[in-house]
Amino acid sequence: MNRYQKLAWFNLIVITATILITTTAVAIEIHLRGYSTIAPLFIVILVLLKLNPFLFKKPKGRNKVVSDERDKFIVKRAVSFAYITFWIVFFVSSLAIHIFMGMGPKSSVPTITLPLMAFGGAVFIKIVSSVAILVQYGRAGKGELS
Amino acid sequence: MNRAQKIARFNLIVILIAISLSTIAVSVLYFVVGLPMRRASGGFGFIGICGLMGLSPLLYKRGSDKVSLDERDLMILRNASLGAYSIFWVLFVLAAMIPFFVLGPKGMVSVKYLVAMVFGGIIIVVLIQSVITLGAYGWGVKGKNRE
Repeated sequence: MNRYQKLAWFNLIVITATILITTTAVAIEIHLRGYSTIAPLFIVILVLLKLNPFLFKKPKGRNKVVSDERDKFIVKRAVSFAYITFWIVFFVSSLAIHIFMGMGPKSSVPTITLPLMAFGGAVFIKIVSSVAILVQYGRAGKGELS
Repeated sequence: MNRAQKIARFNLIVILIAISLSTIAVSVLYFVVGLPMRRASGGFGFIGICGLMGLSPLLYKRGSDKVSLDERDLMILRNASLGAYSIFWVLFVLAAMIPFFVLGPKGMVSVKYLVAMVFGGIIIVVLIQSVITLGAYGWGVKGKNRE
């Protein structure tokens, strides 16, 4: 398993864990208190994604190869695919909101929706690009060691 | 000039015409005619000209018996897409955060803003894609003619 595959697995594990923990915490808090204010803070677990460069360091030394052209091609293709998928989802969801909420003067959304869209989009792109990297490498540990 | 360059040039011209006409129309309606901004913004209707971009694949058809793309062309197109989406992403985050900070967390945004983000996003992506494609080929007629 090479560096990109490890990074992709790490991203997927962190994001899945965050979603599961946050959802469970919100459900428990709502069950106990009737509303949820503290549990959504579990989303900060996603900060772990920023540890990627430290956890999976690039090998140092002249003889060590980090990635070849094929690896770069796979990563570029995964990122392109993620952006295109995000674009489709963004387009459809924005038009769906517009259609379902109508076009009158009262059809508006809270401003917090917009940062949430950007945040959700970033997580979505991370998930799709990680999955695309793993699928292109064949999901198993076929990639060369780095 | 190859097919990708012709499409990029066509898209760039269409977008620039649409933006120029919209800006002129809004300016004239607001400053010359004296309409309120809400009504003058109707001049943005000229952005609809961008719909002509959808015709570019029909105008510049692929030759059935000739090779239309080589590896270099594919790399240029892929880099152009990646560059365009990367810049779009930065602008998208800005467009999402600015209303939040200006209007506050309790403020409301019209759903039309979301649709404007979508169509603005399409225009930005195609514009940057076209500029990067033409820039990568050298802005001139250096690309091989495979038509």
